[in-house]
Amino acid sequence: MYDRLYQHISRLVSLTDDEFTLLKTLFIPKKLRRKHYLLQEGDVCKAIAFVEKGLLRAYTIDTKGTEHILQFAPEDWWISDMYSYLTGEPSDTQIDALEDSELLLLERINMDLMVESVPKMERFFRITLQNNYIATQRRIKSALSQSAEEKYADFIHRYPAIVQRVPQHMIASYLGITPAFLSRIRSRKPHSD
Amino acid sequence: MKPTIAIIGSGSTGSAFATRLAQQAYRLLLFDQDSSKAQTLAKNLLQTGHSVDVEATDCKVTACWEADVLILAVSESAKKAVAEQIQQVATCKLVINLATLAGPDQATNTHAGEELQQWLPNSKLVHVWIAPSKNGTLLDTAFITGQHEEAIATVADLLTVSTLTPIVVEDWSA
Repeated sequence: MYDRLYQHISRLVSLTDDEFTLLKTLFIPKKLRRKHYLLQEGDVCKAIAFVEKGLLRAYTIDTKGTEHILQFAPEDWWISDMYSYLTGEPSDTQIDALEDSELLLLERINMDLMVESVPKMERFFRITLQNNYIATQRRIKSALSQSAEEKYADFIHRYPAIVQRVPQHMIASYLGITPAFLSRIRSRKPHSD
Repeated sequence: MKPTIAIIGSGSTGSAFATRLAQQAYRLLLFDQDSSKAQTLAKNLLQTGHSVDVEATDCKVTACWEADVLILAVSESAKKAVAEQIQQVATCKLVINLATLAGPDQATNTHAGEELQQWLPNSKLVHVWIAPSKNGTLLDTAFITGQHEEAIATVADLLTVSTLTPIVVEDWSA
């Protein structure tokens, strides 16, 4: 239940057995079935989620009812609405499971407790947030300056595992293009996937 | 988002509690050692309204793993075994220990609370004491004890929406 979390943290900091035993007591183990929600618009995001198994997505719905996917989170990824988590304000984001999933949820009070009792976790979260910031900047640059073809090529290059597990219309939603347009791009590049 | 509540035990107390919670915005997962009991209860509850979201499950560990809140409605003698089985998936979760107030002619069993916390060391344990149910209905008052303030407040809200009057009493086990 904690194997991936242990490996994930160990890539950045090394923990003693006692430290990891303590860490395990601070996460809520949560099994989430496919299509079930972790967060809905209007809820306060009380925890960040680490994915031990499965696949989730975060998305917003615009005034016309169209879904815009912000993030996919397969194994070893974290997913949350950071704004709502940090401010306690209601979220405008939905998070649901695309596959049956197993999560480890970390509430704020427990994150504070964790960095207090195991200070090297501060380093872990700093580096994790840095990487997240880089990914966000990359995504903004891509959204503003790349053509649809470039965005798609970039996505399948960077996240080949997600491409296999997610329906095409969701990839189109993530890239900000219509499913019909994505299908045209794909037919032009028959060997790209 | 609709919280998921696992109710372990579909005896008279568990059933009476499930009946009240089913009318509210909760998703219920029911488990009983005798799976036909949980299935019958789920079937009956589903017939009481369209918004009822109830499911009988055949594994208590999976039910508790999925749930946000756990309710233990099993006999005192079964509590240790159940607690040990669900301990790993109950970490940091709110666990409501349903206990029946002993009648004047019965011996009281106030130590179960302390022991349960030892069996579920990483859970937020709250005890809810209710009078024995008569003909499947609960009396309208429930007494709450526990160490965790936020958890007590959550349980008081949960009881209130289930049309029970919660009375928070001092924890005499502390």
